[in-house]
Amino acid sequence: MSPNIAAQQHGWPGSEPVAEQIIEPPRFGRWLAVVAVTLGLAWIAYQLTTNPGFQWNIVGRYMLDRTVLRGVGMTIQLTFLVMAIGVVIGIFVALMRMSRDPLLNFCAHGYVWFFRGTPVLVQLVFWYNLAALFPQLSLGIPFGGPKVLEVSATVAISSFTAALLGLGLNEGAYMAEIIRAGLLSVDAGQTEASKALGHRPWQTFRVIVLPQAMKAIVPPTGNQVIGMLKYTSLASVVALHELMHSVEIIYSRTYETMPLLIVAALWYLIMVSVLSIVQFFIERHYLKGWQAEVHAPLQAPFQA
Amino acid sequence: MSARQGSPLVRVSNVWKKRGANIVLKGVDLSAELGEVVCLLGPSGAGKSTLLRCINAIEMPDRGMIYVDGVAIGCRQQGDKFVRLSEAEISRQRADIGMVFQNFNLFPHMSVLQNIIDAPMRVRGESRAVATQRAHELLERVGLASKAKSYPRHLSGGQQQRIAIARALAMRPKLMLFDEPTSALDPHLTDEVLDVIKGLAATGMTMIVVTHEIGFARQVADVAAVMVDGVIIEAGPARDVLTRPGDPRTRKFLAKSLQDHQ
Repeated sequence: MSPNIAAQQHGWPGSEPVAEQIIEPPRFGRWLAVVAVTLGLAWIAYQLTTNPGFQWNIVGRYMLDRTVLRGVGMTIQLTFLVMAIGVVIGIFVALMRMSRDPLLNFCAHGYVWFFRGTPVLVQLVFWYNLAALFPQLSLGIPFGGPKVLEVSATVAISSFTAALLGLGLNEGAYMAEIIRAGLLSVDAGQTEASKALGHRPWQTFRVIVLPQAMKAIVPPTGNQVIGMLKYTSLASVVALHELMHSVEIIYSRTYETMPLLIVAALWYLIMVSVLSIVQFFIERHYLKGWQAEVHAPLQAPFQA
Repeated sequence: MSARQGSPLVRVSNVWKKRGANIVLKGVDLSAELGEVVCLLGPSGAGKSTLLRCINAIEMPDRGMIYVDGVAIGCRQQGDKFVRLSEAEISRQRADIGMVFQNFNLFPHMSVLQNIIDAPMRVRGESRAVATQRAHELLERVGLASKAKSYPRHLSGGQQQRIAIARALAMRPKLMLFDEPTSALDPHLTDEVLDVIKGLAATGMTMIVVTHEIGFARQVADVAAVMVDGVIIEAGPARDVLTRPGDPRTRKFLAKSLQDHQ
């Protein structure tokens, strides 16, 4: 208390030089590093501006090209839907893996084992070629029973549904593990206290356990979303017109490979930047109640 | 309203509980009358906490029955058999039994006020206004009226435990269970929590308290029960059990506890 009063009366750090000051030692290494980094950045800037191979005029021309924009739209749409599928599957599989029921446990283990154990690329191509295995997809009693609904597999499985299934089922297996880790990070006493208050099992999960688990779930999920944004480019193998496939189509016709790859890279960078900002705000939301109590003095340390 | 006629509010009858190969409870009988304070004493690992957790079905006994207010906990009688209830049905029974934990277990992502009003609103269907009004009364009662907007992490252990008591009381329980409410606290913080529990005893709340505080038990307990190795070796009026114990093991335990606290 008393130092504050002194500071208020005399201004920082007080009228008389009685408080010893600690001086930082000179750091020559840091200055060397600053010079090295500056040189590196200067070289990159020089290359970007003077190397004719970048063909910036072409980059500029294609940044807002209709095909490219449609590709960006498809990439965003696919990422969003795949992550939604992944999170929903992830929650259920994580809960199944944590349940004491041996059958649920077995099924969840099997799911994670299979979809985490096979390459996404194989799964994508597999779903795309499902018609080779099951020419007719039908809903009804299996083993030759009556059918309620029947469609041809070539009609049901488009590029989009194949990408959705391949990426979504795979993502579900990874999300299950992330969500399980998050749920395990919440102290068992929280569940007990919630039960003791009369919460039903679903209320305990949704109101008490999940919000606390989110603290551990959000950062790796953000990582997954950003990874998925770029993984969607794998869907070009099933001829889906996402961003990567769209620029491929253009440069295979015009041979302007470099500038079009730059267009794709710039768009991915823009989308990832936006996602990082969103992640920052979501993380801050779930840290409620966990921050240190005193904020103001840290932000404005010594206001005289 | 109540199914019991002249029988005790809580009746634990021949309860057995195994954990792995270890038998934790060996045929425990215990009862608490309406308005009575029962203190459950005994060395660590005797099964006191397990018994308490069985009373509100956080754990399930393997054999034997527990009745609260005449209703079998965790199961339903069907002819001469008892059938396990679903979790959702058990949660309804738990709502009438308040529990206070050794480690407080406040919800860290909720403010003090949210901690207290959540269950009354979500489980009992009370309106926010009613629940908030009552929360402020309870906070006043435990001496923390100014902390409604704080988060648990920013409170001392003693304050957290008093909030936990307020949270349990907000459900208007007919029975309160305390599982070593002061064991995780610094010695100088235990009194503020014990005072709140004493005040609660004075209002006629039925309570079962697992504690190591012999002095506290002497002051508030109507009945004292001493548990050793999964068996209640002595139970009776607190004055008799705690001052003139009949069982040599009780004498030994009391002597040791008093030594530890000096």
